[in-house]
Amino acid sequence: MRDPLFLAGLIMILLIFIATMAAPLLAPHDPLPVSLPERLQPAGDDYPLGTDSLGRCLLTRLLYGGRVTLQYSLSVLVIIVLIGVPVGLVAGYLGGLVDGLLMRLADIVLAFPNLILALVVTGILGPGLLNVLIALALVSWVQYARVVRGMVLSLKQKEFVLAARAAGTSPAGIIWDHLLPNVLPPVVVMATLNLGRLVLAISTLSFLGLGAQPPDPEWGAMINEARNYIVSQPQLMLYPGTAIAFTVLGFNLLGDGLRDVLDPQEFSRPWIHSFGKGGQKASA
Amino acid sequence: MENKKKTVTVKNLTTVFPTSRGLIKAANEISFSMSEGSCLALIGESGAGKSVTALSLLRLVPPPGRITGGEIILDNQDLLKLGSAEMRRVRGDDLALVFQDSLSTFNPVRPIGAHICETINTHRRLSNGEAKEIALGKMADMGLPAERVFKSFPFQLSGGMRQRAALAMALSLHPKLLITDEATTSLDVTLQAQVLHYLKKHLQDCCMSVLFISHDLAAAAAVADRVAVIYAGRIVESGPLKEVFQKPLHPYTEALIGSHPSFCSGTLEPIKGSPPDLANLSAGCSFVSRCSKASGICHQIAPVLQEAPTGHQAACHLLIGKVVDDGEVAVS
Repeated sequence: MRDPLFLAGLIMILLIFIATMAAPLLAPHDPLPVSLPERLQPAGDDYPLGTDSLGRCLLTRLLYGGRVTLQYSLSVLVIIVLIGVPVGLVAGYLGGLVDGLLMRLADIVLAFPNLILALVVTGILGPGLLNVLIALALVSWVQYARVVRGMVLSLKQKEFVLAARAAGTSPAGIIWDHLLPNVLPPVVVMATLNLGRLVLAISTLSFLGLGAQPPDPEWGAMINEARNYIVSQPQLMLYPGTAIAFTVLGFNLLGDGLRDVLDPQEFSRPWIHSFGKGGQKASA
Repeated sequence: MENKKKTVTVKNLTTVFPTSRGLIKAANEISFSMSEGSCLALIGESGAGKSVTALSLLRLVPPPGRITGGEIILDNQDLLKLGSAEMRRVRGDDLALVFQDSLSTFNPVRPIGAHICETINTHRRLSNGEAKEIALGKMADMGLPAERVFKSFPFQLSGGMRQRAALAMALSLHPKLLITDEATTSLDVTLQAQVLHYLKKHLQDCCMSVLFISHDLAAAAAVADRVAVIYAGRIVESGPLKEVFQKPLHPYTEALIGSHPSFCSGTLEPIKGSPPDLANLSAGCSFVSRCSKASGICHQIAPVLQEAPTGHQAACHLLIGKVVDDGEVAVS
């Protein structure tokens, strides 16, 4: 319960959140204006982390960039949970034709590697953060639908579902009152672990030039801009890279910890270990 | 025989399960009727078709099982002819079911009170406060510390409390027919007595009928006024409690009573063999392979329910001879 790694993850994420959300208050400069005379400055009093190739404060851009990454990751997450969970609930509970259709759709999406498919969708829609958001949402809801459907398939065999039906509860009532509360804790864990991967995906797409467009700051885009200076000014790449790694690590630690915290003793837990990357955890 | 109003009449209810080994008739032409305020015990061993009968009454037979025929008349309407939405309105309102294992009948992540209020709100337009009021009242009737139980999660209660809470939930809307499917079986004797006590008390107070499904003869004897014995999907004997227990007509009932400690004074006599394979029943009586009195006809023709003068029915070829032996005249 008192898991030091969980605490570490929580602190890391809180730190990132506070720092990026308070960027307008914390940042020493404006993130956008270019000032060529001050390009590639080393760290100093005026610029705590130095400046980039266009003379913009690196710390400021890092803080504002994190805002973009986190905001979009969270938005994608909310969208895919709102699509995937209901689809999984409905498909799993109703079964039959509805289940068949929804799951074949999911199969099609799952047939392609996530990032490749997102690349294709962004390619079609054109570059831009909003399109990245749409592309990632389109390809990522499937895993929630799949996992939730699997849980529902086993949950609906439980006697309490039969009891609820015997009490005259409608299918909608059973899904909302009985299945959703049982499905939610694992979904929360999954979502937390997923957030790290989404941060990575958004940075990756921005790095490839499909996400944030110049001059907007974004961690992946910043790494891309720093490519030309990898030998002479490695810190330009190191700072946003570290920020991404730090965030992803934080979310993963948080997710692993949440898995233990949100594992109420009264609920059977076989599926909890069946997803997420840390699945090989010894069962307590 | 009974002049009270009939609440439930079941006629020739048949439920089948298609399997790879053929069609299994889990409930085979089940017929019985119950009047207001009466309690019918449906007795039989595991796999006899008790639970399938209960689920069939609610039309909740798990697929691929299906009801292939018969009538379930509750309150002058045939439940088998209702649409699914109409049937949902009947479930929980006119027709309530209590299961054996109350730990699994309650959703582990919701408090008891939420379950009871859900049942009430499904069927009645009431405010949350009013629903809670009813729930608390019913739980108090069952001798539960209502306020505490209302907020408790299922795993925080003892088995007896949970089963009483399940009973309170089933009774919350004054059903016309309450079905208890092995509702006291998983409880120890003291708790069983407690639950039976509240069940009986409620039976007397309200005009509802109870279908008490059990394999426990003693528990059945404590609440029921009529008994139906089910074997291999068929009702093989039915009649008033005393008649059936004191003068069983069917060899299976006799054997069942003989194998129960509290009814048998001498040595316990287990019933030899095991229930027949429902997928390939022989043409004759389904009990024939275990029956000590079986004769030629039993192997060839399946017996039908016959009425004895006492208002007592049994499906056995030996019935005629037996009744004559007892000095009464058989009417077949």
